Amino acid sequence: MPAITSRRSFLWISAGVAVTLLAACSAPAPTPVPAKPAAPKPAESAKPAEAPKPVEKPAAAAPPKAASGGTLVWDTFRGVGTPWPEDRIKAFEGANAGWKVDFRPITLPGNVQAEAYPKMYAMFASDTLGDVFAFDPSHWEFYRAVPKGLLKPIDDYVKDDKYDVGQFYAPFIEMQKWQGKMWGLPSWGWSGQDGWIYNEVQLLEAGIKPPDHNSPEWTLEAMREHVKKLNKPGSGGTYDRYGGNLALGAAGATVYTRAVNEPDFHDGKKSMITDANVMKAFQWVQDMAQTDKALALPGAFQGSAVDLMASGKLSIVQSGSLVVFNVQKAIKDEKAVVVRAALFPKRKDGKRPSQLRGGTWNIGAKAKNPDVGWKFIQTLSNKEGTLKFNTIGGNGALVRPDIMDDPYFSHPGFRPFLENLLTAMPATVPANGRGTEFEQTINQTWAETYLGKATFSDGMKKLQDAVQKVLDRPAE
Amino acid sequence: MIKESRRRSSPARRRQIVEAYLYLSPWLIGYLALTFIPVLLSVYYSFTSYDVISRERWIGAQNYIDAFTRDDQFWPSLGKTAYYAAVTIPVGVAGSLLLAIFLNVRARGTSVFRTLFFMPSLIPIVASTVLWFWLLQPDWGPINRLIFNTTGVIAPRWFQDPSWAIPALISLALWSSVGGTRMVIFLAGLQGVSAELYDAAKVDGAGAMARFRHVTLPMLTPTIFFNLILGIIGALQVFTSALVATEGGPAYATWFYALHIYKEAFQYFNMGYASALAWLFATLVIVLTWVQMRLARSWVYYDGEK
Amino acid sequence: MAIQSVAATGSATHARAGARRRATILWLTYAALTICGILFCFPFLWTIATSLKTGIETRQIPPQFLPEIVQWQNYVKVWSAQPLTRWFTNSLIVVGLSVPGAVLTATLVAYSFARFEFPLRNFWFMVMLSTLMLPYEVTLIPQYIIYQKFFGWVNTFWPLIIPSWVGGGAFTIFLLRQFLMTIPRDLDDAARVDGANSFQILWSVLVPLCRPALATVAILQFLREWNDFLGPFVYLNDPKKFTMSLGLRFFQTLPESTMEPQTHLLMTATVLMSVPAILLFFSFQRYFVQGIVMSGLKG
Repeated sequence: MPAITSRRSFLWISAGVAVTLLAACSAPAPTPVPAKPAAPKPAESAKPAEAPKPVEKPAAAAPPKAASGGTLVWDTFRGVGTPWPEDRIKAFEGANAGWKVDFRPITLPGNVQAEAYPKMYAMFASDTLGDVFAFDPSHWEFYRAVPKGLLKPIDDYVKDDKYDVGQFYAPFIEMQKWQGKMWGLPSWGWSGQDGWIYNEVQLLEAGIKPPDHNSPEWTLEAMREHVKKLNKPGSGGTYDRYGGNLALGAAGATVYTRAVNEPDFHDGKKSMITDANVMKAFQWVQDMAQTDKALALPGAFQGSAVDLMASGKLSIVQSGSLVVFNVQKAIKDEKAVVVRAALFPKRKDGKRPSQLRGGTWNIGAKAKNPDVGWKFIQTLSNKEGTLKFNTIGGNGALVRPDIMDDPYFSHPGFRPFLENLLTAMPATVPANGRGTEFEQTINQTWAETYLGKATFSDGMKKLQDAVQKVLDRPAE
Repeated sequence: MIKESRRRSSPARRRQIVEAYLYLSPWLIGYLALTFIPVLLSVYYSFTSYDVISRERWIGAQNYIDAFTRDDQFWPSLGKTAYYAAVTIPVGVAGSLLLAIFLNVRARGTSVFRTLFFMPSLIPIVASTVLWFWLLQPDWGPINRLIFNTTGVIAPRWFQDPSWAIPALISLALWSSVGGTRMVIFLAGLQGVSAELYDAAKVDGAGAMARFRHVTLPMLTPTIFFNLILGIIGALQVFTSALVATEGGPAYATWFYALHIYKEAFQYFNMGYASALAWLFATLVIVLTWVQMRLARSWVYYDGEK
Repeated sequence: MAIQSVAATGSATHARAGARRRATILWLTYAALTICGILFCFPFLWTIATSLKTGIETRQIPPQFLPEIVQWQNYVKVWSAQPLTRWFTNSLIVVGLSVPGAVLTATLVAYSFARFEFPLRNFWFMVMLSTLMLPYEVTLIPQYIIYQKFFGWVNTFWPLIIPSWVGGGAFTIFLLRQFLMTIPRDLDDAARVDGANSFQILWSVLVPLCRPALATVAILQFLREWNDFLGPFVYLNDPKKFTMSLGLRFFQTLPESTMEPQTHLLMTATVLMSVPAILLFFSFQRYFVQGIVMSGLKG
């Protein structure tokens, strides 16, 4: 190569290459295809050259009548890579002649869903955010987006169309409300990490009777006993099999606190971690983690406990109904792992502890076609849409009773959770809206205690102070 | 050389300055248009409370004060970053140099070896972290098993143990960078040492070690300097591996400074505060670099400079 | 050492012993390098092995290294599972337009820093270096807003290509500057005496001597652009415009997802994505081994 290519020819070649590529690259970005009110063409959603332009066109033509047609822009990270978005777009475009949906998937840098939000905020700040998107309550950003005016309330639409919100489980509808208004329709959702999921094969092997969560014998102590019995240590501090895995984060802490009959370990403004009864919940965790040393603690394994359980290396996962599906999908040897579940014991008020997790479909406050957006989110959340969100979209969307008869939900490990879907308890939102900081602070600070790096009393005091500090910060 | 002899505004001198700026212009224009303004903005934001969605609120130097007084993770994260850098930089740079020397021989298969060693740097950090978790898994992972079987010592629980999480990340960093870009640059630097110098040294009776010490090393100092500066800047900005592997945990163990900035900026949306943190960091690095550059005069040898 | 002993004794036996010792060292070095080499590229082997597994196999703990049944069809499946061809092409376009720009402009700018003295030179140099030190988190959002509000370039390739045409980044400029400074100025002077202007000096004298550095810059810029995730992530919204690095994320499953595990396809796509980079590195490095720096002092 060096002999043949002189410097001069290198220059010409690279210039030529650059020009050619430039030409090739300009070609696909040509005539910004104006929103054609053509015959509904299936899927192949509009090819926008620069995304903002096509959306501007319909807006210039006076708004009211949706009959004229146009493009709706949909930004989301859910269902990306699956056929679900295309399926919903097809259904919508079929029923709404003249309207196209521009689907703009947001890919995630890591495996954490919250990473989509910085991009969405930046898009909002530069006016490029779409008409329909999602600021999920469980990621706390919902509670920030509402007061900042990013979302359009749907109360009027619901009233005018006489939309029946009763088609969803009540807790998920409640979750769509904040500061007196309703801001979207349920997308994904489950009753949270409220379950006690176990491998029945290993339980029976250890001589334990599968739990009946209605029996008075089913207590927190009994649960601890199970974990202890199923734990199999190896040599020198290693494990052949972990007894259990707990949800060791903000949501888990809420569930355990509720299991000891407290409303939560904080009330949005004040942290109550060191209250006597609440401490019982944390003590329960600590006993399993450090006294029994029977837990699979974070950091020892990649990803989630699901793979551990599916491989037979973990007997009990304290998590939610989605884990049942996930473990099932990862099982290699069906004879070694049979997934079943029980719920926590009933509390004094007859409910079982839970902490709702769920999402939403929002219409943007600056949406060009909010009315059409309203139609679209109905298409996303209707029976077919929600069912498919589960079956082909890869999400856990347990938000409607009318999908529960589908064979997809017939897994015996899942059925116990239906009860909690009716009575799931919402999360307590930090009053200053700093939910993510709140959650991360708990995740990191609590770890010191359950990893044994701090004594229980010191560690809990530290956690209390740290949480209070976050709750005390001014809202922003 | 020519420059010193002319005084200020001779036409030749003026033309030289014009030319200098002409060559500089691509970068200068780009910087002013695309970097300077964001930089100015970020300095401005560092004196405000800004969450991206709504208008920023001027709060003066409060962010800077908070960093030193109210932020529980400010000093700890600096400390962890320093610890990480103090190990990774010397070992990494020396390792890359060593590898480059070995791989600079003109023997058969060298190009294959070079590619083999380079591959780790091509693997996305997500994939290599997953692998590292397997390698260092305390119960069934190969490394701990190997240690136990050969020495009977129970190895630490790596990513689960706050005291051992950083060493685990260091090992990952060294593995993925030692044969990578840094080594390639050292290779190029080694190639640039003129053969005549070696010949002259051999004639003087210098053996291999002496040739290395008196020809190679001195001629390589600009490259070493380059890799050192970039190594320092890079190591101090460690964050992707920590984010992917442990999200900063366990118990803040891998909560590096750059990760702290990331969290404040993109998860807690305290952009104003994050900007302040970033500027504090930039100041630190600028000072460090400036010190390096002054020190460089005493040990870096540029053949093309008088 | 060996040469001296030969010179000293002049005995043929010693020469043979010396040759044998050299051969042993060579073989030992080869062995050490091979072991190290395998250790180093082991994760890549693991990535390939994973790309040939089924989804469920990838989730077993403890993981098995080799697949039970090699799933060659993954390499076919992955193309139809997602629009890989288009992503691949997009990556090629972005990189193809960036690398020449970086090499060209970095050379110009480095020339300025290395060979000229002008007011504020050191100041601008420090400023340039400082751009490396400012964490991206902080300029990212203002930059995005500027690109959008002033240029309307969001969802185009421009924000990904332009940085290469304004010097290619502080890293490349710094690298070339260091290299240029190692070239003796006598060469410049000689050319100037012959009547060359500054550009001709750069073009005819300095650039040929910088080939290893230029090759390095080209490789590194290619790799950086090819693997860049953040730029495409921030600026590209339309999946048809995605680059490979961005598109790969489609194979990632979310923690709260009930989707079939896709790790095997992720690895397949990763392997596919790495192949051009590896090929490029492999062929380019031969180039700068052969195209050696000529000693400029040979007249």
